[in-house]
Amino acid sequence: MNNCNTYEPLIAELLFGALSPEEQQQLAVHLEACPGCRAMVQDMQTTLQRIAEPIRPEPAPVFWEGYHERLEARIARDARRREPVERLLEWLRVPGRLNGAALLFGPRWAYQLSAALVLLGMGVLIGWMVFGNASPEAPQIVEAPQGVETPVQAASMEARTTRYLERSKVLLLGLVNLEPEQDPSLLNLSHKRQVARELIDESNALRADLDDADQRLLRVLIEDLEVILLQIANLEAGHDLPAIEMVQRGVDQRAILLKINLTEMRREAGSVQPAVTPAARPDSSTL
Amino acid sequence: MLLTVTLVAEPLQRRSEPKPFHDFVERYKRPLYALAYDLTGNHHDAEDLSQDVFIKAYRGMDDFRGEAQVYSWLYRIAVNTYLNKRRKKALRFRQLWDDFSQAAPEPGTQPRPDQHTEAGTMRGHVEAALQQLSPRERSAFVLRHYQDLSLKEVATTMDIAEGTVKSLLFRATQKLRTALAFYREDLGLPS
Repeated sequence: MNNCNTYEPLIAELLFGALSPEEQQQLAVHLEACPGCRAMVQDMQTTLQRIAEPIRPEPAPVFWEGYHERLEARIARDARRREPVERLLEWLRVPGRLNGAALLFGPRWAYQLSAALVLLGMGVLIGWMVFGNASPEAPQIVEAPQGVETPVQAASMEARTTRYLERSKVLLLGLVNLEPEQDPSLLNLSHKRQVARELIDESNALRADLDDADQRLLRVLIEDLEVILLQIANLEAGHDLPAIEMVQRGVDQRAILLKINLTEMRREAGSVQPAVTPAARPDSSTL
Repeated sequence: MLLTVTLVAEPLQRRSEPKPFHDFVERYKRPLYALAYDLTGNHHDAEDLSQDVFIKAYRGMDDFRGEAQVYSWLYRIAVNTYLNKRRKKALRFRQLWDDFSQAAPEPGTQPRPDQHTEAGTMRGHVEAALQQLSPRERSAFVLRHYQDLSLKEVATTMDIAEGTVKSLLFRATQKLRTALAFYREDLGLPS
């Protein structure tokens, strides 16, 4: 139904809050008439029930024993970092300090200029306190050692692997989301087989190029993916449900989608592996 | 070193007599860590976040007027800090990556006997699904579903309208339903 969106607040209230009798009636009438919403709500309720309890690993006792010490150390560090700023602010609060500039520029301009200068000074001071006063050096041209990727090469590799993982994920999702009652012939398997073959070629190329020790995890993921891609590439046209179910099981057992998500998250967090320059997250690619 | 601040009791009417900050931390560290873990999904970021909250609480104690319960106050600081960190992408996801690479457990955490068991697998699935949520969706979901705050309390904590909370919860549940569908067998969900 076109107006299903209007029932979202009521569904949220049903799942997480408490509906009034009138709201219950209103929602019940809609769910009775809309099998899609009815199935969705049942699914959501089941999902929420299944994950009702948070799964939090309990920290070891030693973690709690040292918690206060670690916290106090952080508070002390925080105080040391803030001390120069607070001393400066305290100094500025003394009457007359900011008034000198007012003689030249007038009160309002004086305070704005003074504030700008104070901020600039604070920035320099904090930088000196935190990073030390290393003497400036003349810029040097550093050539990348042999065997280490240049930034351009690294960015290119990053883009290649990102695109490879994006395309693989979209391909797998299209198969993993297939419901048993759906007709496999609707899936356009020939296109998926073609994409799988292209990705297999790219797998071989990437594994050859990812020879850095820190890229081991990515190579392992690509190897796992390649197994699944081979299965997809060998799918028969028409009704090949057993083979599709085998692909689905393989994706599940190897946790392929989880690993792809983790790889993407790690890149997004900036914790990229050495020799690979972090790049902006690309737009979702389409097959 | 003893850090002494004025402690407020709950429910709050006015400030109580001074008590050591140590006792305050001792009282709230576990529930705050639990919330931080639900928000961040890993031990290191949870510890960082919980300590950030205590540091901010310590700095802000003098401004706390007792207009809210302490838990609400701490939760609000926790959610705001978490959202700011996510905006700056300051969270490391390190523990989750270590899970992926099957590295040794971090010092200070329990050994991972469940790493290769059903519980460990399920934790991985659920955490991966939660990672699909936006920071605001995750915050709303965690506060309502795991911390059992009412819709109104979630709205107050996140400083948003109740309608927005419902919208965030709806979208979060939809995304979780889709993400966890991959693992329906492991989670015992109907196919």
